[in-house]
Amino acid sequence: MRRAGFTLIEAVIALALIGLVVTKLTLVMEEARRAHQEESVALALQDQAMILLDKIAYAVVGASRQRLEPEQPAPLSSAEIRFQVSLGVEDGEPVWSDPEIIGLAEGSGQLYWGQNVGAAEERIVVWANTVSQMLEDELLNGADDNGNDLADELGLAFVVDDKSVVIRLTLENVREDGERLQVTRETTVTCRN
Amino acid sequence: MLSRGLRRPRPRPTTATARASRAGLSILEVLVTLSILVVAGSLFCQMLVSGRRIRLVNHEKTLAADAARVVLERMRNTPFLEIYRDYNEDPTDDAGGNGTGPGASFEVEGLSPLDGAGAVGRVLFPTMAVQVSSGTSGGGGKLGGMGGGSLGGTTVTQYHLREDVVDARLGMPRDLTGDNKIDSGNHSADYLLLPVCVRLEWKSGSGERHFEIVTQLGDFLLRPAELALLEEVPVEEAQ
Repeated sequence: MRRAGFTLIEAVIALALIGLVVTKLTLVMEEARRAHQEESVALALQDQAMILLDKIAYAVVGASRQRLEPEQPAPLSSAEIRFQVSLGVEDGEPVWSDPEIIGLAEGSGQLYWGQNVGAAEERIVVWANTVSQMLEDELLNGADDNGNDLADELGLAFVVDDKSVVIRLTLENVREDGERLQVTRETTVTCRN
Repeated sequence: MLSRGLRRPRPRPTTATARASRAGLSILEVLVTLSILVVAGSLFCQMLVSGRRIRLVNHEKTLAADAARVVLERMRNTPFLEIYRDYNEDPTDDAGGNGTGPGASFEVEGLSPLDGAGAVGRVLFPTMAVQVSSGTSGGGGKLGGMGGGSLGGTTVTQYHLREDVVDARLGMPRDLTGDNKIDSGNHSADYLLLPVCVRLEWKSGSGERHFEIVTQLGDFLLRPAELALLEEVPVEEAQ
């Protein structure tokens, strides 16, 4: 004799199995979605960090070593740099741009570029809002916590080494659950003038 | 009783169409469907994997390009005639003393060197390795204290910067000293032009990869004597 349908036990077992599979699938998909989101955020931060470092390097490369300040040899560093770039030569004398500055606004995570700061024709442009307060793995304790030979460096740190400027930058993104994702990049640029 | 209640009576087929609609799937249909699903699934997985691999490769290439650029920037921060001595393979000729220069090889954080290779990055110049025995000067134009020299009658290897090295990638042979001649001397102390190749080789998830930048560093600052010539005044006055 052949059965025409399912018994209740069969239906319950089938439903339980389906429920189990759907639950597992949901968990896996949620994990994958989260990992993908984290990776996307990390990649976006890395891209942003590289673009910012390129912008800073491009600004500083045309500067003169003599018009670069402050001079902070390691283990000291500075969260801002002031410079003037060469615009050309006139009557045998170099022509310098208006004073420019690139720095980190204290407490706001803003990386800004400014020209003629403090003067009537002051211009300030914010380049990023995601700069970490301190460089990755660094604490404000007077010691070198992250092993980069600098003590208490902020999220944007300039170290002048003769004609070169070493630029370190940490960007961060705070997730909804409060977890911080940080990306740190470093580059070196040598003043050409 | 309950299980009986859930059962439904098996309807009798009345027509050929009704019989066909209840016949279910043949094994062939099931196999074809499964094959299509497997192919579609594997293509989707392959797409995900290759997308991730491309992202990884791009990331590694960016790291390599940035590292090469930083090495060149550091070279530009070195006094011109010390670049070759500090960045060649010979630590004994470093400008600040034995082993004080960065040397020809360098590591890059985030990239793994190839099996058997010591480091990811290398700085290459148009050099020629020369075996120098005790009492041999090792070619002209050498600065004091460089090149290892003789060590109690032993033979040491010196790396000479030569104009007659054949290397199309570096644009060699060529005149490096500005005297309009290509000779076989060692010009590690009097070059005006320095061809440089920064090459990185690393082990990636998708195999071995490499990146290189070839450029030429030059010392184009005019010295007082040259300025005097341009201004057509005696050298003594210009100095």
